[in-house]
Amino acid sequence: METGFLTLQDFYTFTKGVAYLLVVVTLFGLAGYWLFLNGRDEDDRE
Amino acid sequence: MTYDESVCVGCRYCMIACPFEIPTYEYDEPLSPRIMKCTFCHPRVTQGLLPGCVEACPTEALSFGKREDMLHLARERIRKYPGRYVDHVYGEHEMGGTSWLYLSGVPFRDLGMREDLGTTPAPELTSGALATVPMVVALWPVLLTGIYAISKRKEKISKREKEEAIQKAVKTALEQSAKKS
Amino acid sequence: MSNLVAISRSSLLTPFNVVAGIIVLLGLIITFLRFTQGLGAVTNLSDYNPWGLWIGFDLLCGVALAAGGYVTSAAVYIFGLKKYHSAVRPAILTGFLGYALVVLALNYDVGRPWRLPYPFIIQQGTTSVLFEVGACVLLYLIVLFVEFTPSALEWLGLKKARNLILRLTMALTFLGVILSTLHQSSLGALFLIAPSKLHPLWYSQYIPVFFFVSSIIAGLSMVIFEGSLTHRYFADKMDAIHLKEKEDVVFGFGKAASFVLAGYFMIKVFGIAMDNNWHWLSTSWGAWFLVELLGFVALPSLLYATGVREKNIGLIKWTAAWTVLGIVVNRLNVGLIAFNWHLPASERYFPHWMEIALSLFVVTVGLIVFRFIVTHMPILYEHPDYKTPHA
Repeated sequence: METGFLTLQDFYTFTKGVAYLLVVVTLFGLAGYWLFLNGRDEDDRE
Repeated sequence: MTYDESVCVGCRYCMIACPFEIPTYEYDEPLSPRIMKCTFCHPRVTQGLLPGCVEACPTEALSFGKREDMLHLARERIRKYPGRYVDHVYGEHEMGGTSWLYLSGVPFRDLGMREDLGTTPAPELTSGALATVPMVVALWPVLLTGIYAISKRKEKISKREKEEAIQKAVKTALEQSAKKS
Repeated sequence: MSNLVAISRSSLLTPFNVVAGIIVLLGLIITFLRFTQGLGAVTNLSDYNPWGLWIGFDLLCGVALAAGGYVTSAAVYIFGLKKYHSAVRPAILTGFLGYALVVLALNYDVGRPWRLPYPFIIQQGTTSVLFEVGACVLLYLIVLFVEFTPSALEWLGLKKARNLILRLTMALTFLGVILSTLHQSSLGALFLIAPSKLHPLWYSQYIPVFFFVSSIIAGLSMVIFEGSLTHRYFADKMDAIHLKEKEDVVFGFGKAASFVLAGYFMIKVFGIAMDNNWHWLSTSWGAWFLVELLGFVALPSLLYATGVREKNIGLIKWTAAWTVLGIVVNRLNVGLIAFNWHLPASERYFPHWMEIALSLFVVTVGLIVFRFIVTHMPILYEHPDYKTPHA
C-alpha cells in the first residue's frame, strides 16, 4: 500500500481518477491511431 | 486438508497455488510420484487417535483439536504469558484462515513465514475468472451470429448492387447502339 | 538407373534432416530417462518451482502461438473476409499441430500422463481453473482435428466424408472462437491463484484479458511469420491463388496486428494504473517490464503500422517474427521469470539442458509432421478434384 493513502477510499479515488484520464487518452488515441494506420490508403485513393 | 493419491494426475498446480510452499513432490519417482504434505495423519484421526507428531511431543508444543478450541487455547497462552509470545496467531486470518496455527516468540518473518499474504482465501482469487465462463459461452454465440449475419447481409447487398449496375450498363449500351442505328 | 538411386539416397541427408534426426534421437533418450528415473533426473524442477520450461514454453507459448487457427477462420467465415481464405488451411494445420504438441509435451511434464483423462471421467475439480483449461483445450483440439480432416480426406480421395465435414465449418468456427476465448484467457487466469509469487507488474486482475488479447496478436503474427517461412521453403507447393492472396494476408493481418497491439498496450497501462503500481517501473524489474511493453508491444505496433502505410512487406514479415518472440517473452515472464521473483537466487529456476532438448524435440516433431502434411496434402494448394470457383 502507498504510504500516501490513509484509507481505501483515498486509494480508489486516486486510481479511478487516473483511470478516467487514461480512458479519454485511449479513446482519442486509438481513433487517431486508426486514422494513422489507414493514412496512406486514403492518400493513394486520391 | 487431505490428498487423494488415487486421482492425482501430477499436474502440480497445488504447488503453484500454495502461498506457504507446503506441498512437496516426489520428483525421483518415475511412474507413481506423489504430492507430500501434512494431512494431520488423517487415517489416525479417523480412528480417534492424535496426529503422530502431536502425540509424540513432550512439551505440548504441538496441540490438535477443533479450530475454535485451538484458537481459544492460543489466545489463552498469549494472555497468560504476554512476555513470551508475539501477540498474533499466525494462520487465524492469513489467506482466509489456515488449518495449521502458529504461536511464536519472535516475529514470524524471522522464521521465514510470510506476513504479506493478505486475508483473501485462495478460491476467491480465481472464482471471478471462472464466473465469466458461462457469460462467454452464452453471449459469444449471440455476438458471433450477429457479426456473421451482418457480414452475410452486406455481401448479399453488394452482390445485388453489382448486378444492378451491370444490368444498367448493359441497358444504357443497348439504348445507345439503338440510337446510332 | 543406378545414378537415380544414388541421388535419392543422398538427398535424404539434408541439413534439416540431419539436425532433426539428432534432436529426435536425443528426445527419445530423454523420454526413456524421464519414464525410468523420474522428472528429477531430466529437469531442474523443485518444490519451489513445480512448473518449468515445459509448462512455460511448450504449454503457454505453444497455445498462444497456435491461435492463428481460430483468428483466421473467424476472419474468413464469421467476419466474411474472403480474401484471406487461402490462409485458413495453413493456419488450421499450425493450430492443430500446435495443440497436439502441447498435449505431447504435457505427457512428459505431468506426473502420471495416463491419468490425463481423469479430470473428465473420474473426478471433476470444477473449482479449479486448470480443470476448465483442460476441458477447453481437449474440446478445441478435437475441433481443430475435425477442421483439418478435409485436407487429409481430399488427399485420400474420400469425397463424401470430406463434403460432410465441410458442412460443419460454421459450427466448428463458432466453437473454435468460444473455446479459444475461454482457454487462452484461462491459461492466464491460472496465475491469479498466486499473487504472492508473481511480480506486481505482471500480476493483475486483468491477466485473463491480457492473455486473450495477446493470443489474437500471436495468431495474426504467426500466420504472417509462418506464411513467410512456407513461402520460402515450400513455394513449389503453393498454387496461383495462394501466391496471389499472400500479399493481402500480410497487409491485412499486419494492419490488424498493429491495431490490436495498440489496444493491448493500453490495457497493460490500465493494469498498472488500476493497482497504482507505477512505482515499480523505476526498479530493475520495472526496466524489464518496460522492455517487454515498449520493445515487444509498442515497437512492433509502430513497425507494423509503418509497414502497412509504406506497403513494405519485408518490414511486416520481420515485425511478425519479432512479435512472435515478444509473445514468447511475455509467457516466459509470467510463467518462469517474474514468477517466484521474490525467492533468493539459489532457489530460482533455470531449465536443465535436457528440458531444453526435449522442448526442441517436441518442436522438431511438429516441423517434421508439418512438412509431411504440407508436401502431400492440399494445404498450400487446392486439390484439382475439389477446386472452388474464384471471382
